Amino acid sequence: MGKVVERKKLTWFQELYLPQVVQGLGMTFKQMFKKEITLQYPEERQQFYDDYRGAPGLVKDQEGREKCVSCQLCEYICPPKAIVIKPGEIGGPDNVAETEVNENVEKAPKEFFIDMLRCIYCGYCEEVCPEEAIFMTSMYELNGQTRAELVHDKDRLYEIGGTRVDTIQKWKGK
Amino acid sequence: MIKLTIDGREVEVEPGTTVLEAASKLGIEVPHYCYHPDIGIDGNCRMCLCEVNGNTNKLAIGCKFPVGEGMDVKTASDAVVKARKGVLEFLLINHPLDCTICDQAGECPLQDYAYRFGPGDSRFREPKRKGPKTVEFSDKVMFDTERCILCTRCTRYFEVVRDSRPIGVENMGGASTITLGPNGPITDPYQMNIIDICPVGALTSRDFRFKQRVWFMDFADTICPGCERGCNITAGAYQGKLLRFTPRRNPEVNKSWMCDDGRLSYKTYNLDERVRGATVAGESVAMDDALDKVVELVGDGSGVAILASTVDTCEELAAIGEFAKLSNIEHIWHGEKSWEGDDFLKLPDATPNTAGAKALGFTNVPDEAPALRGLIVAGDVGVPSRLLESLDFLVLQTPVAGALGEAAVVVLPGRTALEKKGSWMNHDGRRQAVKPALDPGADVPADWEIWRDLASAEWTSFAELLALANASLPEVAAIGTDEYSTIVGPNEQAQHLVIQAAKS
Repeated sequence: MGKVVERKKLTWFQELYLPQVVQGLGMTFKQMFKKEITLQYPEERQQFYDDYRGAPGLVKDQEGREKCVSCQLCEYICPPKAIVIKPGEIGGPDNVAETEVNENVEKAPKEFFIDMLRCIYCGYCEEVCPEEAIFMTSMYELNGQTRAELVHDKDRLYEIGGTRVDTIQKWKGK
Repeated sequence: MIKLTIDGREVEVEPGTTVLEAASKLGIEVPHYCYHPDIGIDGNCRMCLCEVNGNTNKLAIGCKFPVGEGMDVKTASDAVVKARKGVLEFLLINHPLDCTICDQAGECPLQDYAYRFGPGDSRFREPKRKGPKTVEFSDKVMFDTERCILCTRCTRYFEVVRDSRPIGVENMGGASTITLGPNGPITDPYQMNIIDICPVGALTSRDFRFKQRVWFMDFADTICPGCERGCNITAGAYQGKLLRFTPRRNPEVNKSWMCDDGRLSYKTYNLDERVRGATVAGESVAMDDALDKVVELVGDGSGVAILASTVDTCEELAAIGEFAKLSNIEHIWHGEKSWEGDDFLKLPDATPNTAGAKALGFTNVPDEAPALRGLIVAGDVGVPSRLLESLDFLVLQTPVAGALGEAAVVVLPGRTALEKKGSWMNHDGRRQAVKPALDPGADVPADWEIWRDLASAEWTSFAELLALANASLPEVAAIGTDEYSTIVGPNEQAQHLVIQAAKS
């Protein structure tokens, strides 16, 4: 058996009903003259802090060279198994170099897919990457007409990631 | 016999045994790089240091130090642990941080030992040694100067096992590198073995280079289907595609080696097109209907022959033999395939189970073949054209139908050598377990299941078939059924299973 809670009797002031109406209207008028906080999306966009975790993207350095060496650690760590990489050889039989071949770089991804229908935006890929080649961007609008559109391929990932200045450029000074 | 104590446990070994071998007899691991059981002792890496009779001033290298009566060996004392840390720190001075792109990562003793025994840090702040990273030793082997730790296993492999010197150590001290000899690229047909014995990623396979990281792959311990030798191998596959074969050590068959032809033969088992489901006269039908059709065609069995491939396992051949017996088919023949053998491992017979087929009563196709009404071909086998004359019907049970597929009345699916479960008997009469590395899917049933259903046999399970095969192979020791229960799927934990034939 549940506990029977006795309903309290209203006081005569509460029974008047009008004070509550006035109180409510007061709140409404107060909000009308306050600063607006609603963003007029899509004309206005929210400003994110730097480590916001949006869609992951691949980056190139300032010389347009792919930073990813397809070590596949992100593929390994990815909890929902959203990442699939096919490694390739630079200067090998099926040369996958995006820029001119440099003998200090041997490996780059031939194909790189991130299934955004699987991605949970945990950021582990960014954290595990030894080459600082994958970053969580502030891109949060993901939509498409088909499921295939939401499987980001290499070109799309570089488009999302853009360029990051690489201060070390270890392939250069060897 | 000599009695000694290793880490407080007593062991009795032959005189002349080394400390490392004695320890491995007890299951105690002594880390090592330059020592290899099939190449021999060199003693240059200093990784196997052990403390003998409490002498901490001068530790002994376990790989070369012979055992003595009453010796007291410690493989993990404080002095040893400290010395190992020092050795690893030295080895890692010039070793590049290439693990992210190195094919050896994941199966690299340097990685493993550095993690288990290493100092975890380096006091050397000087820049690492630089060198060419892509030296082509041949069209099969790539060499990386920076990664090499100069254990010289590769040069000693050629000297000891192959009796040739295509590569050697050049220069002195810190400048030493492995280099090609004056005769140019390595041409040895067994050269890719140096890739497996290289304890680091200095020697890599140009075929497997950057294909896949090993920790994503599935491995199956099986037998090379290339020839009668039956080299023990580990087949590595990724998402249903074979990527490589590597030899698995078996001192009595192939030691740690295999030929390059066998190693690269994995490509032929990645089928793009194959027989899936059963067809009768070109129309695809249910499996049961196709089997009924075969039984109807065979009739009383007169004038019918079975030609079985010697890639089929002993168990499958036993099932075929049983079907022949129940259907009164008197001619059971096995196919033949040969390639050029050599004086090391490669044998001229290019199928793995000819001895098994012979032991189960299969014979060569006679030169003067009797007039046939029908022929049943089991497995991917070359059919001599003289058998195809005047045939009423041809039944194919094969992974790839090829040109014969059009002539066949009934085509049944079959499994390739890398999808089979069972055993093959090699030229020595040694029966070795075969495990599937690939799973072709539900529409390609195991070959023995097809023959069981065809024969409407009394036995139903693989264990019963195994008993049947054991009964038909009298000279081979009967194998307990539970041993075979370890042969299950491609993802099963790798387990050695070698069945030694009882030889008189």
